[in-house]
Amino acid sequence: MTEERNQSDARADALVSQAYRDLAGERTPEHLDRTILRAAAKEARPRYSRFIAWTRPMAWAATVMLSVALVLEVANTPSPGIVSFDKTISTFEVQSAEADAKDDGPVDSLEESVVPASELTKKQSNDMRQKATAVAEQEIAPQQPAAAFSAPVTDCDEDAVATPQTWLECIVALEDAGRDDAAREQRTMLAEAFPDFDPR
Amino acid sequence: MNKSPEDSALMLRYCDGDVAAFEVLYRRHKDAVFRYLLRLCQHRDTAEDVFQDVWGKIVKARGSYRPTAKFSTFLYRVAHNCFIDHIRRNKRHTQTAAVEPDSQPDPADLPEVETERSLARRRLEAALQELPEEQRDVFLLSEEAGLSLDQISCVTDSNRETAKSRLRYAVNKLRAAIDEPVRTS
Repeated sequence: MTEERNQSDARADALVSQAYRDLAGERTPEHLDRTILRAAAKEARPRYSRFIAWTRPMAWAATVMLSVALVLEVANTPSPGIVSFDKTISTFEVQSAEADAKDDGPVDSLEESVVPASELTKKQSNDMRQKATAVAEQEIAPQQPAAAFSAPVTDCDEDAVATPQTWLECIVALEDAGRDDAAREQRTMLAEAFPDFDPR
Repeated sequence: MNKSPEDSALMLRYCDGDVAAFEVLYRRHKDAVFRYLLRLCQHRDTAEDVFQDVWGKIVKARGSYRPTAKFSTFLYRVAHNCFIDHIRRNKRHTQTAAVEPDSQPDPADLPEVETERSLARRRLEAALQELPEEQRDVFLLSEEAGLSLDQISCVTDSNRETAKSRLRYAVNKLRAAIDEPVRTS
């Protein structure tokens, strides 16, 4: 009952309704139809296409930038092979000798072959240098900081220490160059290696 | 005979990207919505602007549309609000020229055999334009959209009794205009 009353309330008078139907014949202009349907189709397009449009170039740019940064980093990294080993060797000899002097017990691997510098003959000294050089190349040199590059070429090389005379000449050259500490160290090593040689 | 899909189902299909569903929905409602706005605005250009605005909002709503109410209620609520917004933005609708129906014959050209029915339609047109805006809105929502009083009250943000009263006043005035004897200018 109430529903019927509602329906009758909602519907306008039949005569008025019919008259209005006769009157209302306007249609939507076609240009509006086209505009709205075009807008609806545009809105319904997948949105990820716009997303991809900027992510792809960005991914490429990021890849290129990372590659360039990596290449520059590698190019600027100093080569670990360019190191002066002379000082390293002498330091290694002293440390090995001190360690051997303190510990008379059995030692392992490299330390086993190292003997105090005072007992080294010329040949032993050369062998020692070769071994120490190999070890330094493997273990010490790659971990050397960049400061190793700036360290001056020191002391006397293999040829210089071949005979006591040439070694002494090298020491004198070091003293002339003002490197008294290095000269003093070389003198000590000379005295230990050739105790019978009189450097004066 | 196949039952045509419901409006809400079509709108949901459009939400999923089916443009053809929107086209069906649009063609189903476009003329009624256009006439509703045309009679409310009483100006064709304004009605076209608001009409475009209405369907633009429907299209934009595809991401958030939920079929909580009848689609026509949702559609005419958007249309009503767009019209109200237009009034607030631009007061010119009060000074605009009246709608001139495309098929309106000139009174001078009327043959003597012109039926009373045709004259009644002309009087109805004039009476509709003279109705207060709220009454005209309710009458058009009832006639063009076929909305119930509850739906009309929902669209117009009024209570049911107010909508019912406005509709009754509107119908009475229009009925009186139709029944009015022919007046010659």
